[in-house]
Amino acid sequence: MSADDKVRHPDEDLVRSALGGDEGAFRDLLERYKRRAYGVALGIVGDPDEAQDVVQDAFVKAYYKLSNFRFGANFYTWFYRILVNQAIDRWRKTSRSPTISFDDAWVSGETSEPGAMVYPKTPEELAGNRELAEGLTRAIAALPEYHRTVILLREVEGMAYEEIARVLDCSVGTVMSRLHYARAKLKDALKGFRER
Amino acid sequence: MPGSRFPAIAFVALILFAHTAVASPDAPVAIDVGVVVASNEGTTIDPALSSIQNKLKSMFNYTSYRMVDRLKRTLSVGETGDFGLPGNRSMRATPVPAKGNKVRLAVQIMEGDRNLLSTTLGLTRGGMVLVGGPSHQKGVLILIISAE
Amino acid sequence: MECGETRQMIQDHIDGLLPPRVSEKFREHLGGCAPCASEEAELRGVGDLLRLWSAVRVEEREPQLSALWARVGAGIEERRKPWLVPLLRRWFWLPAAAAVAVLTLLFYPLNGSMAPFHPKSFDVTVESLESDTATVALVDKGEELPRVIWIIENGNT
Repeated sequence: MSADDKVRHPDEDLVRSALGGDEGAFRDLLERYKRRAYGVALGIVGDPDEAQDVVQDAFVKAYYKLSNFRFGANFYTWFYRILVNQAIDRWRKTSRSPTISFDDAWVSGETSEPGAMVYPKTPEELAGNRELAEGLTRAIAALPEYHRTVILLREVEGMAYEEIARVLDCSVGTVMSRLHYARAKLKDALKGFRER
Repeated sequence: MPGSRFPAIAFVALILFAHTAVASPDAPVAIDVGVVVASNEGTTIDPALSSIQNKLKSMFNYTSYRMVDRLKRTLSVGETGDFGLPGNRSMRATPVPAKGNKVRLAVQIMEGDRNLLSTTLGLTRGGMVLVGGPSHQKGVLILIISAE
Repeated sequence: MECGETRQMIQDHIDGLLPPRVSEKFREHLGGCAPCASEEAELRGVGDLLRLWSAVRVEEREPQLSALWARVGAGIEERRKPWLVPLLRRWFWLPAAAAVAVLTLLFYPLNGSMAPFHPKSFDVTVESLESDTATVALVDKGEELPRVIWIIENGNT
């Protein structure tokens, strides 16, 4: 679904049609947001299968709660609140491993001089560096769940602080505090990586 | 059928009294940390501090108490939890073995790699202690730490 | 602008929160300070890396995501089934469920982050107290008030 589709069929119109019984309209919403929803869910729960279950459950829940959606509000902020709550609940129920410390999460790499940090620039470069990709996955998993959620919503989804605060039902100050902590922790976890 | 009401009544009674039961010494500890910025900028008192605002005013001379974060973790004895704090700081807490209805916590507050504080505290479950002093924005951080 | 002050502002700068004049001084400092510039680049790079990471992980799952609608459609149908009706016919469970809901809300407020503090005791034993980089003091103002551990950072009073 392209950006043009979103202009031609804004989210609110699709919600209105879905409420009128048009399941195809709800499907259009799903197709529009499923990849982004999966990315956020995966970041929170860590496991691809669990993330897919979370996304599926969130869309089913959203379908049955659609009559609660307030027109004028942002659909994706409303939906993401359902998604994030599902993801955090699922992570709490299924997370059996002890808290991963940031010592374990650090990406090992060649030692080098300070000030020479080079990150990959494209998905292909990152996909080609398995060690870094796995290290980053571990580092994200080592963050407390709400800090993980905030940095994903901000950096990957590009959400504004106020939107994140609405999704997580907390203050903007809390959002910023958690974001800064998460960013600093991930930066430290990536120390030692150098482009080979 | 009158007999069939018993399960419902028993269930309600269980909920009523479950929270008052004495926890075993090795039971997990629920740690609740309120991160407050106290300053003389304005006169805001966060609603979550309403029940202790008079105590805060008795102890400190600040006019504003703003809660910027609320962190909760349940940790087993020996398990360490990490709590992110503003200003490149963090708190680590580890429940250590205790007797009866007491909780003992090993707490460390770090700023980057610097150890600002290491302490071991003994509290009864439901007890509260304050740790404060590091500067933040135009005030100071005060952590309201309770353990259940 | 000193390095210490600049480092405190890096994340606010990344998030576009610095006022224009402060931002200008911040950028001037970065222009002449390699360590601060490096720190800023690393912190900013975290966001870039997260976006790449997400793109890679989502791409890995593309085949399963293509079939997501089929699974969601099945989930919607599943919930439509009238399995609730026989349960609701057992009407005597409803008063118990309502009582549990009211009691739960009394003891566990819906929004945990906003719930007021209700300390049961201020009786705290401080078994040990030390710091490598600051002065720490234990303040006790009576049984009715919480004990306070106060950290006095170097240079402050």
